[in-house]
Amino acid sequence: MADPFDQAFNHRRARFEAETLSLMPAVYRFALRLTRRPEDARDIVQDAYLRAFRTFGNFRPGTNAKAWLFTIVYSVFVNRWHKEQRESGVSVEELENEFPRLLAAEAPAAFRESLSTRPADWAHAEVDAALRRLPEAFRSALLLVDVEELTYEEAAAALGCPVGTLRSRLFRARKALYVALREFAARAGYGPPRPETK
Amino acid sequence: MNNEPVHPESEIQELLDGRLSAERGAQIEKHLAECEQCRRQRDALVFARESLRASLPASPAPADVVTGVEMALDREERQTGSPGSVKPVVARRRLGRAAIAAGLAAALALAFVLLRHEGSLPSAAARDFARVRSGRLALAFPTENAGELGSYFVRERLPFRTRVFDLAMMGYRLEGGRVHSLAGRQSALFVYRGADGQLLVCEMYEGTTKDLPRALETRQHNGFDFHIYKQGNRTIVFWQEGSVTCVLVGDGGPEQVIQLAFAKAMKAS
Repeated sequence: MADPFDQAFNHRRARFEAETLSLMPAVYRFALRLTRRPEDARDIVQDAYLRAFRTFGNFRPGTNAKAWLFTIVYSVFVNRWHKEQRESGVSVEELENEFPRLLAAEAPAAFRESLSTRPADWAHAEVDAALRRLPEAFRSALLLVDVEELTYEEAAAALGCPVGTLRSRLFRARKALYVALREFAARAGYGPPRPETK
Repeated sequence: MNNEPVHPESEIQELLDGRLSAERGAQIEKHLAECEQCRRQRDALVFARESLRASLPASPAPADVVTGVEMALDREERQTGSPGSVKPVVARRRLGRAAIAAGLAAALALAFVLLRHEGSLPSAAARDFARVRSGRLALAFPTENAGELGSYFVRERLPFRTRVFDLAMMGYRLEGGRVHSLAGRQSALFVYRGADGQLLVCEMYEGTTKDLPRALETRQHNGFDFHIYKQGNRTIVFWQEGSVTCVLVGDGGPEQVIQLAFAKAMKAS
């Protein structure tokens, strides 16, 4: 007869933790970018893990645990926090409309070369500030694909939208983020003044 | 007639994300080589993506987040049993009343046995050991200095006194520690490593040994009661020091772990 502690160790909790605990830094980072407040991110992570544990039977071993868990995190966020928050981001169209004008006035490669610091060295807070300007739907698409490296299909499933919508949001969000970063760099003195586009 | 879009904007993004076929990717690359406008767009998208990736590195979740999740899972297990491990018995009409009663009694007995072990402190301590061993439980404060680790626990405002001992004389080097949660009880966890890779995980928490399930063996030594459990090749030893209970989990051989617990308790006395 098996040792009862061996049985206990092999039970559902252990399997759940083996699948999900290593993902907690990424889950927390995602929750923090969604809520913008550490205390809310903490609650989201806790709720999401609890919900994931309760529904662990639905998870199929061998599939992408990260995509499964992020789907739950986003669902918790939408159900409990999203409704309480008023978007403070700018209109993505406003930034997006600037994109072609900015590109026509200045080559990104030239801007990049002129930076006093490389993009890889940009401080967390600086990119975070630009990211926060984007509406949540666009921010989430960027975070899931560019930071968490989910596929379009996985990110779309997590956000509950068609892949085509995800693709479109991602494209628009990247353009908007570039404009926001360019504006930020100009204000912060990292690069040359922002070219006049009008 | 050439159906090639003048500027394949969205496909540039698909190229960057590796979603185009080799053939279509080569066509877009060719277009990029010839089109300054599209090259600029590609460079801008790369810049945005690179900035985002570089600026949001993964870092450990704060200790209170990890502890909060573990405590929530512990509560869930205590409230519901281990989900999926014990199913309610569904009585079928065909069964006689005696059979139903017998079935329920057996299910309750099984549930009692499973719950007793699955949510138990020895089980939780063994689980923590396995997570440290596999690297899934990170040390928030890595140090080889017992004094520094003790100060860390003071700074973290644990509601009980911790005593971190130097076990170098016994062949174990301190690796560090973290504030943790053992079956829902806030704990100080610290880790030692032996010369041959044996691992020793110690946890201290506020509580008594009365909460423990029946031990495989209980030994008295130097005025302490040591409650000994086994899980695979791991030996788990609990003992109580005042209002604090300590647990030592090791895979360096049962007697060695027990003797280390004796030594640690002696030092604390």
